[in-house]
Amino acid sequence: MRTLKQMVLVLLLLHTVPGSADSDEFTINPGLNDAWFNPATGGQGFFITVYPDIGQVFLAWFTYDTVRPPEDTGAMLGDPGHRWLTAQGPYSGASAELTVFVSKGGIFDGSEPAADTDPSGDGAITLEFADCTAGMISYEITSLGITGEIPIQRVQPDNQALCETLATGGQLACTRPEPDRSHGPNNPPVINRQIIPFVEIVDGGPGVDGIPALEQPEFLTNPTTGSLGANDLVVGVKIGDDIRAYPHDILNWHEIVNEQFAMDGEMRGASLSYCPLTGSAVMWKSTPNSADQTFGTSGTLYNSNLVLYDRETQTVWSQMLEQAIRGERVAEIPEKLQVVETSWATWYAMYPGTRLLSRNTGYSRDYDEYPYGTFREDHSVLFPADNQEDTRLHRKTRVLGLNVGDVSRVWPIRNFTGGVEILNESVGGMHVVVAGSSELNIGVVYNRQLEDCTVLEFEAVQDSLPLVMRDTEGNGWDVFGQALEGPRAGQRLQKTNSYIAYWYAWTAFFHGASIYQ
Amino acid sequence: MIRRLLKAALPGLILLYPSLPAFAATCSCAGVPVLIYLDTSAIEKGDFFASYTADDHQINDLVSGSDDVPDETGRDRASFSQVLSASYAFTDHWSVSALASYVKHERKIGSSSFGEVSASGIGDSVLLVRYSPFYISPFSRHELSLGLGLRIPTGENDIVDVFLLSEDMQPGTGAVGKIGWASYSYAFNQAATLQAFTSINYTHNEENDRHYRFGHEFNFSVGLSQSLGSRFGYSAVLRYRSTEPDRRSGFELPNSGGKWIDFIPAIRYAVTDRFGIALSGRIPVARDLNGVLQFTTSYSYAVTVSYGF
Repeated sequence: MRTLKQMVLVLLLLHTVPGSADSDEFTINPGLNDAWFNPATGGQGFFITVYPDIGQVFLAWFTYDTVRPPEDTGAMLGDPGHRWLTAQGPYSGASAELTVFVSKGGIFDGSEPAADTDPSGDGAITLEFADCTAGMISYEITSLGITGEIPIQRVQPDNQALCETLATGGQLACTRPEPDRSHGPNNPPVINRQIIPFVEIVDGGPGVDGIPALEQPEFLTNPTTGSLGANDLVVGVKIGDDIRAYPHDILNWHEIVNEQFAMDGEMRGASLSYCPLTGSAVMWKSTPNSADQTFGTSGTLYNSNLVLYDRETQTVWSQMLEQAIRGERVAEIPEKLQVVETSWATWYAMYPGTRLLSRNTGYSRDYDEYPYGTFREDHSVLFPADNQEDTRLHRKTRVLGLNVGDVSRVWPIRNFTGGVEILNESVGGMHVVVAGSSELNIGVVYNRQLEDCTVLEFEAVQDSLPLVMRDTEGNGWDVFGQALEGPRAGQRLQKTNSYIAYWYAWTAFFHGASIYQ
Repeated sequence: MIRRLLKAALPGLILLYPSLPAFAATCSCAGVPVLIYLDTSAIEKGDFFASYTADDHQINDLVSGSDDVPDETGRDRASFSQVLSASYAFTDHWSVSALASYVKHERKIGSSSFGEVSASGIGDSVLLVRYSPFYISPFSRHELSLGLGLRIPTGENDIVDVFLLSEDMQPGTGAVGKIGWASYSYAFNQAATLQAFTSINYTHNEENDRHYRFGHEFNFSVGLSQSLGSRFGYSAVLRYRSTEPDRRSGFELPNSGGKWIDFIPAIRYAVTDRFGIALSGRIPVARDLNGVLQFTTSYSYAVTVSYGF
């Protein structure tokens, strides 16, 4: 009988709402979240909320008793005839089947006496939408033996456009947060072509290019496991089949490596930067068609972190903000490339065909020596840095940090389990997956919401490097966030605003980060 | 007077030698930016000496510990100082010396097309009170002086050239330094034409308002000086210098501080009984610097003119 009633309802709606889409093509979506009512029964109405992640609809119905109470019936607040019901249930396509609940026994804004709700419900509601502007409620209240139908429309059309956008093609449009924006404030004020007060940018001493960047340096093409110490840290890059490792031992002395990679069907410049004072490594694509695509060291520091300059415009860029902070290109955000920092043993195990940055750099530096004494282990901070009162972690704890808008979270590398640990989390509204291992010395975080809005759930894969995780669809993903096997093979998870750094540096830039324990 | 005048130009008796900025070729960089020459000539009651020194200090040697390292960046770092100094003896035993300076720092990386930086301004000042229980005279071949003083932070230490410049590029240290000093001389003959001398001094530095503290410094010198006739003289000094690492916010800065031995030759000429001129240099002999890489003194030279009243 309900099926017949629904067919009639749909036909009625299609007939009575000119220009609306066919019911078969419409899909319930969060754009329907709104206040709804029947103009013929003013003073009554519905609040409807759609939860797409769990496929449920919640409905609150504000109405009156079936008969008016006697005139001398009193009420402390409101009309003695006030009634409200709730309903909840799954939806599919344009309709939802809801169970009606009646709560009773409670008191205004109080917990005692407790309200009571019969979990078996007291009837059913079928909610049908023809489009984003009109729907039909069919109800059946079991305890009263009554049924009825109520045509509803929005109280205000504000969410109609959103509904129509989300309903395109009967599928939800993607609403995942886009992470590829600045770590710093969005739309920062630009004053005198800078977004950081100049007094906070300090001269480190060596001067512009005093720490010499490497320009397309030599690589060892067949390194062995013994080419570096097993625990020596490297910054790993994988762009297509081009796999390269950059030892910290060399980066400590040069901080920037200007490179060329085959990307997007052409040779593109890219600059890897590593700041030994903050322990952070990032890689940026160069600006297309720029006359000089390289970066150099500015000799200055912001929050004790490397400040680069681009040689074409001499704009200076904060490495950890990943944004231009002063000059012609101020506030610009570079296009970033994923790097993986880990030990040489782990990197070589993952990519035995890797190339390794050669010590034959053309500079007379003793790469066996660490240039900053005990800095990696002690509590010292060599240059001014903000927020150093946040001592929840040892200052030199290496943390994987993620910044999403104003929300920040860190995962200390040492806090990961020995084997690969996978964490499915949500940070700042972004669904992320974290892959880390204290023994393997890795930590990466990716957006696990795909472009089609699918949110993947991951679990760890052990002893299969570079494969580190598998999702519920059966795809196997590597440490660079690329699916190596399964139906999504070849796809990549979206890069996030994340990298490894010392805790003191992360908290200097991103106050109030939550810490994974 | 002329004996004192000649002595005024002796670098061996310079109280506070030009400090050697020590630069790391890395992010960490620290140095002692002020060149200070202090006239300490006045000893006998009523003596008043004044001098002017111009110093050119080249700081382009790249060193790892004791070993020279080629600098492929073509760094060019220099400090130029002008120092006015005066000393006056109130009694035969008590005197004061004072110094004021003007400092210019220059830095350029030859391999870079950008970033030539220069900063100049009034530097720090020094005030020293000295006691000399005995000194060389026709009746004594020995001279001993003891002194206590302060380096007064009159110099600028917050100069901005696009960005706030590092401490070693500032004309002033921004902090008080407490100075202890002693010197001893021996004349080999009654005319005191040939002397041997030694001096020792220590500077205890305080932290400045940028929470930076230059390393405490110790100097020890031995030398000989000889007058040739009534107008000419020369001297040769070996100086040992040791500085502790600089500190910021209490934390020791890598690649700062170390030990140096310099040879400091000088020649001088007394133009008149009151007016003299001297030319001195400083040549590194040995050094053992902290950390793994520092820029340090290549050489320096100075011209001093002195006048006695």
